[in-house]
Amino acid sequence: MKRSASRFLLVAVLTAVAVPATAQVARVYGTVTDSRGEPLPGVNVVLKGTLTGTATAEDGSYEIPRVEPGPWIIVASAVGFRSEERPVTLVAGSGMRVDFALEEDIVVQGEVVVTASRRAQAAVDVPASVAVLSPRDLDRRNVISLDDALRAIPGVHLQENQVNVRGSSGFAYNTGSRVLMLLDGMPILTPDTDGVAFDALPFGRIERIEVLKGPGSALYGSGALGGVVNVITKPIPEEPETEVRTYAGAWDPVRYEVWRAGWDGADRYRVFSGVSIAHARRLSRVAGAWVNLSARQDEGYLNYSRSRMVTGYGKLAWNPSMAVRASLLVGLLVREKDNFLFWNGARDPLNPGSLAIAPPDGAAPTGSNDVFGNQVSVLPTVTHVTSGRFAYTVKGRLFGTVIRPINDLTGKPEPASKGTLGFRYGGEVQANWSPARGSEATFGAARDALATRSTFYVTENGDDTGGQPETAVFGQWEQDVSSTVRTTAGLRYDRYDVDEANAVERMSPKLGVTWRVLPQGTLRLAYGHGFRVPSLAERFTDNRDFFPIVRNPTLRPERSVSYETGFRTTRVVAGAWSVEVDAAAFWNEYWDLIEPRLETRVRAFQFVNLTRARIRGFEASADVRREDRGDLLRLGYTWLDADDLSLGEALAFRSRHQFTASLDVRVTGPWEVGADARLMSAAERVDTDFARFVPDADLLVPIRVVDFRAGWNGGTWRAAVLVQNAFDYYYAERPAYLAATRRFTVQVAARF
Amino acid sequence: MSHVGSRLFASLLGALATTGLLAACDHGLAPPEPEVPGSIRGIVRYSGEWPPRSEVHDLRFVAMRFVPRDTADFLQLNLMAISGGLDYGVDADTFVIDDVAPGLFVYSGVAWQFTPNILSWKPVGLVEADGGLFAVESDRTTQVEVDVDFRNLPPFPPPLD
Repeated sequence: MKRSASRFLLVAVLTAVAVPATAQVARVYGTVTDSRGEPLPGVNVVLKGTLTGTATAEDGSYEIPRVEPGPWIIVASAVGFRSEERPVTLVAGSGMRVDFALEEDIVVQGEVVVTASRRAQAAVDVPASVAVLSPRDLDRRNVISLDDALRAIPGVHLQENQVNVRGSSGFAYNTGSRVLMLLDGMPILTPDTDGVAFDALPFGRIERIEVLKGPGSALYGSGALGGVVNVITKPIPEEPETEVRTYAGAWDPVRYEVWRAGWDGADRYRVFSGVSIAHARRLSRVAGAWVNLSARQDEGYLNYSRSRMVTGYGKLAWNPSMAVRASLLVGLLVREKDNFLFWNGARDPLNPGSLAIAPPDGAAPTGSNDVFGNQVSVLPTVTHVTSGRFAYTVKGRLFGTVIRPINDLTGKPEPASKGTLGFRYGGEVQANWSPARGSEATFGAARDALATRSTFYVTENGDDTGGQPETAVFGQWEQDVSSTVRTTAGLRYDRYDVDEANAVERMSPKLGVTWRVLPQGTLRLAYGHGFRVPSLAERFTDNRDFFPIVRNPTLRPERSVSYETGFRTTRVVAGAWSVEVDAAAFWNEYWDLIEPRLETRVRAFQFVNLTRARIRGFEASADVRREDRGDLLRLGYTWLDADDLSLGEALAFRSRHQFTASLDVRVTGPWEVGADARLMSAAERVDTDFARFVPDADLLVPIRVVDFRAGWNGGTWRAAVLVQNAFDYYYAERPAYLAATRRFTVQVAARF
Repeated sequence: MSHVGSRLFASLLGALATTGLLAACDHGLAPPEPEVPGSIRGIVRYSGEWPPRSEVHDLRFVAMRFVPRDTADFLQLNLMAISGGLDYGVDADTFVIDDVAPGLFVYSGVAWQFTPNILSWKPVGLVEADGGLFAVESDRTTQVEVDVDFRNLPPFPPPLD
């Protein structure tokens, strides 16, 4: 993981490939080893004071091909090793070999993150809580969907497909995520409900997943009310890489005969399987690409929860000159899925329920619907490094989704005109300027809009297409005020044109201070604002297919203000053992939280600004690693005091206690075993209008889920057996929806 | 150190498994104990002139465990027992509601859906006997009667008294 982090640091920061047009250049090459002569891959080798450099390959070799002649200092650095510097004088037309033998550092440097400040920086220096999941974390858990990955992070809870960071989200009927999702730094919330696109990701080429806990609107705008999830894809490797991963498994029949009696499928093992193929390579000295194709199918553990999905992602990178790099990430997802909406009560939770009151057409609304969906992503990026101190990036984004209901009689998808067709598109310019040592500026502007049409929406002007264009400018200044204290100040202005007559403007400031009280220990103070503009679905849904829902164009944005203080450290205890600790206390105020309510005034459900809330809490996490073997113990605990100040009661759907534990141990040779435990107290208050018509919808219990895994890692080949929810504990993450039951998975993967 | 560390990690793995096992002992959600249901059997007698057929979108006997204050309360389906659709234009009709959870019903009668809106309901006749109160007992059938006079519909919401 450390080396992956190093490689990422390289790509994020040292982006320019030296390719001047003339032959009057020099090159630097060599090998980096550890003190015992073992080659070190993933080491950053750079020209000091510039953004020019590379990373060592698997055999420890590196080459910086085109460097302007003259005096330079070459720096080699890697997490876990002392950096080394070599002064050299390069002569035009010749190469110079510069080898390094790095000494192991008794101090482990820790994670490098990019989400908190829109630039790479050591996590220990970030004035915010940031959690990181590495590719190894994803591989070990056979993660095939983002929600599976996020459940392992302390303070993060999933309510079906609603991401809840430190209690920021309750149960909002799957609309309007209060956590912003980014793919390589670009928002990909769905253009209809502003929901998190859990599946629209290239899981075979994910470098890391970062979760920023707390408001992030000062840099990212709407949606970052409670946090930010940033999925970062791998760069193009120096050498060709191919990975094939396949898995198959089955859902265990449920324990209770009463439940099995309601559905024939519950008496047998219901299978799921998938395959992912990823290949990455350089195409020339200045270009490279990767592609990731995957397919999976799942019979589901609930009646009417089957899914089939195919995804294809590709990334093309091109570095046409020393200072310019460009990339294009394109993805396509095709999915057919049964949506299980609500159960038929606690005595029949495997079947969707139905409403006793029939609508005029005589067809009883049921707790499931089938849809055929497509999602497409197009994310171009160009970065220009004008000097060692200034670089700017231009990004574009297009994220489209098509939802076509499946005709119950023909079994075929209806035309898109009978469903939802939406696009989120836009772009941004971001500049990073380092005017002096200890000063970093990040600033930019963004413009985004939606083009979404749905049969469910009735907009203000009678048009069925929603736009809601957004314009934003943002800036952040980081300044070292001493050798141990760094301050951060940021501000973002957003303007949303809700319709022709109405606009929403929002200023989102942030302030942060980090103070290195120990060589590897940092105290932090942070203050920030967050907001979320209502999604088109919340504002304009007007439909009576399931329940009567009327639109509410007057919805106001949700707002939050967050205060946090914390301490983070990375240090070595003894030899190869390291301990990393993060502890934080936070106080978050929320205004105008949006929830759907049965409004007697309009005789229907309606999304309304309902709640003023306060969430205070404490969170602590500790990672204990044995660096030479890769053994890892992770512990996390979050305590929440969540109050609904409008009602003077506990805020609904928030658990007071959340505990996560994870342990991975290499038993002997290539054999590894591991386990995850996720314990949460039951929500202190359940308040849902679901309970008016869905039996037992107010029934929530504590969550006590344990996963086990055992694997064999032979280098090129890996195999693993996983038992998820090993004790077959039954619970609901959101009302009227039984969470995943026990399942067995066999995974085989090869990387070459 | 490494040997000690490996044993420590192995012990932690065991502790984690034990913790999970203990935590999962109660198995979480479980099917609630079944209640032996009862049933409601009833007769409805109509008088007065029926509304036009186009205005009668649905007509059902509805038994409520609460006194509604607003038509929006009709969405509290978990606190109601609802018959199948009743016939239009007849002098009298009967109904049976099976699988009714035992308990007390305090406001019951024939409800008329007068527009396509799922909340456009109003009562046209109420169970009057015993002040409208009746109980459903396990494995027993409760008999009720409703008189509907289209010339004299009951007030809604019911007066507070």
